[in-house]
Amino acid sequence: RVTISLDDVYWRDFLLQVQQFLKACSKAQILLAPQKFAFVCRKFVEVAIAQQQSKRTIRALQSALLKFQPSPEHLTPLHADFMQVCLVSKCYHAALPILQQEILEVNPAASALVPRDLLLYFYYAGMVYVGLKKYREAIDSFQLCITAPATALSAIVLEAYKKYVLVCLIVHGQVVPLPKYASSLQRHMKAAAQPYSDFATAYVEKDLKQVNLCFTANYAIFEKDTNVGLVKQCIACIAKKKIQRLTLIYLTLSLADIAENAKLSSAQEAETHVLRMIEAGEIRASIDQMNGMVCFHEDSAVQDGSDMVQKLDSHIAQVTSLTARLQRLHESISSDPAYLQKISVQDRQSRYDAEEMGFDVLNEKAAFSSKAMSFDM
Amino acid sequence: MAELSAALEIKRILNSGNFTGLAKVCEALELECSEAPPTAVAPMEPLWFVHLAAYLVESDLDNARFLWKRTPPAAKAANAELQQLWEVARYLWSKNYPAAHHALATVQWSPEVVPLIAAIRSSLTQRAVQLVSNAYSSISVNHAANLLGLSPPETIQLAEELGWRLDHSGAMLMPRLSQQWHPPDLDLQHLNKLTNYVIFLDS
Repeated sequence: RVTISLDDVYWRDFLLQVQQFLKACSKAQILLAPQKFAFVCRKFVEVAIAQQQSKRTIRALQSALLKFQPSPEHLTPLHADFMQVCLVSKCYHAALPILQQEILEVNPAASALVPRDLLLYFYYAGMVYVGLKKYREAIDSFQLCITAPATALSAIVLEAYKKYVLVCLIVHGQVVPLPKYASSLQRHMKAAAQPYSDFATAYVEKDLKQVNLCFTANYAIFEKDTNVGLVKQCIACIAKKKIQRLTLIYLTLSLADIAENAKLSSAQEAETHVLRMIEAGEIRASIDQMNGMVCFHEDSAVQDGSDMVQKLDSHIAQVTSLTARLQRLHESISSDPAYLQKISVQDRQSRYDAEEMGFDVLNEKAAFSSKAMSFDM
Repeated sequence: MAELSAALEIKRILNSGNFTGLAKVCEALELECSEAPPTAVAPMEPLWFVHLAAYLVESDLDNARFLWKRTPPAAKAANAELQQLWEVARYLWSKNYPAAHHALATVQWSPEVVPLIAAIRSSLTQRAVQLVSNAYSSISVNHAANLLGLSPPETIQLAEELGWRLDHSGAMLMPRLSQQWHPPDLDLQHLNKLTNYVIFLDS
């Protein structure tokens, strides 16, 4: 936290100057002094937030970010700053163009990036997605923050984990286990966020009473973490999840039965719920008001049209480009001098041992290098 | 003082009567206004009412809610119509369509904003029609009238136009889903793509 002890005149001038500078600066020039540039941007954001002028930084930062990036796939410290001002100024829509960038590369030397910037970016991005109700993208973003390699638990990662748990409950009804490449700090995360783990356990049972008990018991903690809104959204989803489960079991069901199953107060309320879910595209069904019945439809509608073909095409194109990228990455690692050195040391060692023991050297070598390859990938 | 380009664009859209893309331009105007030097004598103010109405035409309630949070209290206090529009937005947020339609119809809107309000009402009705034909295989006339914001006779008339069946008691409508099936567009380009896929999978 920085306390600015400047006169009004000074901060006003500073903000204006940096605003104009960021819009007018030349790309070649700023790339020559990345650290100083990142520092100026950070101070710009801090002053603006302290003076409640965060909105004015948005367009300036965006144009600076686009100039500073070596490519649209590179992460820079400005990404985290940009997300922060979008959140503080409540201009969530302004964050979308940058959020849509697919971040695949980092270049710490060229962009003065430190790990904290990466953690902050994905944490803030997750929060923006939650605000825009794009929960699946929020889960991806939080996951990227949580699974960053580390040896000690960071406060940012812990906060991201808490929100990750809650958003998982909203989307999947349970906490999705983290992928295998996640760091070994998972146990520490769970322990540090115990109220959230308790809430998740209560939630899986979908017992409204238990969940509410857990909510009121831990309310103070949720409030301190500013997660009360998210928890309330989780609780509001319980009826939805129950109705979704019904679609897997029944073809048709009466509104009264739905109300009973989902613990709703009346058939009327059940109808409202089902209608809202149909509107949101969460289930496919049709309500028969005359008989008070709901008919659940198969998930796969007639989708042989041209838009389906287009979707398939774009997915395949994505996978193809991703595979090509992985291939290039594989090749670049295989020809990396550090890697080759490591391989050759292990090779020499295995050859020495093999000669000693009289094993088949060639087989041993092949097994070793293939094991090392898969380990590195 | 020179008019900001975004403000001119908004004027053009409002005059044309076609409000698609209005929300984006309003967003650009808001950000442009925020960059004005604090010492400016008569700073340009964002058009809060038009902005909110643009979101409601597209039924973008999340962005409408954030816009309301961003609107300075002075702007809210100065514009009674803005507050009335926000009431409509609140009804829409809690999915209270009858109240929203009622508010839109009964408030005395000033002449400049009447086209916007009309656009909001027609977009609401269109969405409701889509929802009802999607979600209901039979619905009572009164319930449908509530959702669509029309009177029961108007609802029956609209149903006839859409080809929905009315049962013999005159109280139940059978909506029909008007789904258009587009046959896929297959041509030489597609053959090229498929060839590329096979080559890729073989490599």
